[in-house]
Amino acid sequence: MLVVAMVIAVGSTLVVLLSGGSTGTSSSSPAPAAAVVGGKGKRVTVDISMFAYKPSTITVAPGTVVAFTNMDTTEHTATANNGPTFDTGAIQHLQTKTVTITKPGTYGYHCNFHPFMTGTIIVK
Amino acid sequence: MSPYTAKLRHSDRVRFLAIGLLLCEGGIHLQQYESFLHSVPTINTLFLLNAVSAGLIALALAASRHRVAILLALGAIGMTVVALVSLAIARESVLFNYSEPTLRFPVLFAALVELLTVVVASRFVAMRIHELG
Repeated sequence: MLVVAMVIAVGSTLVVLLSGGSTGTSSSSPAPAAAVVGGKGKRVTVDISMFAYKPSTITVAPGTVVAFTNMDTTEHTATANNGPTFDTGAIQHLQTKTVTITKPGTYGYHCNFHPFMTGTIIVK
Repeated sequence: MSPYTAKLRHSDRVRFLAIGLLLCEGGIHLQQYESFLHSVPTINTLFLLNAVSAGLIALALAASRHRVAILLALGAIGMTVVALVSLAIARESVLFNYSEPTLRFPVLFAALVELLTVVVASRFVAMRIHELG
């Protein structure tokens, strides 16, 4: 009896876990955008999903508002590699935070919680 | 209660509980690997290793008694303690380029199951050592 109860309990737990959590697979990040998008005050979105910035590289005009939306259930950041340029701070699940870069240049950034996550914003 | 269950020693019931908890621990790690962490370097491999190890130890523990079962239970305790300590480190800082700043439900559930696994497996070891004299 005890064994049956244990099997049922464990089995049902696994079923719930395995059926409830999957979000499906996603393709790898699209190729870096070559064209300059945005413009002063215009908004360009970067999704954070499955521990990756999508797209990982964007090319924007100076003054473009870059919005980072976190689709993952764990927190992320978008923090400039050079430190002071920009740092969104912690972005919660489904939260969006924005940064605006006015000075032309190439800005690498990463997630403070998961440093293997990297992206690039090219401003020109 | 079936005749078989009636014959079970109390430590065997604890052993089955430990087996169930181990399977649950492995299942959570497998689910997190499949749905969430498969793209995270190093951590993905560790989660998969935990799931496979938990499954193998559970199977072996189901088929073993006496001293081998004690060794397997000690192995389960060691593996689970490592998982708990790793989670604690990832909560406070970065471990293998990964941190866990958010107390997600699977994280809480995994921690609870792992704590129970350590307690139950330790209880089994103590009881079986006592039985073997």
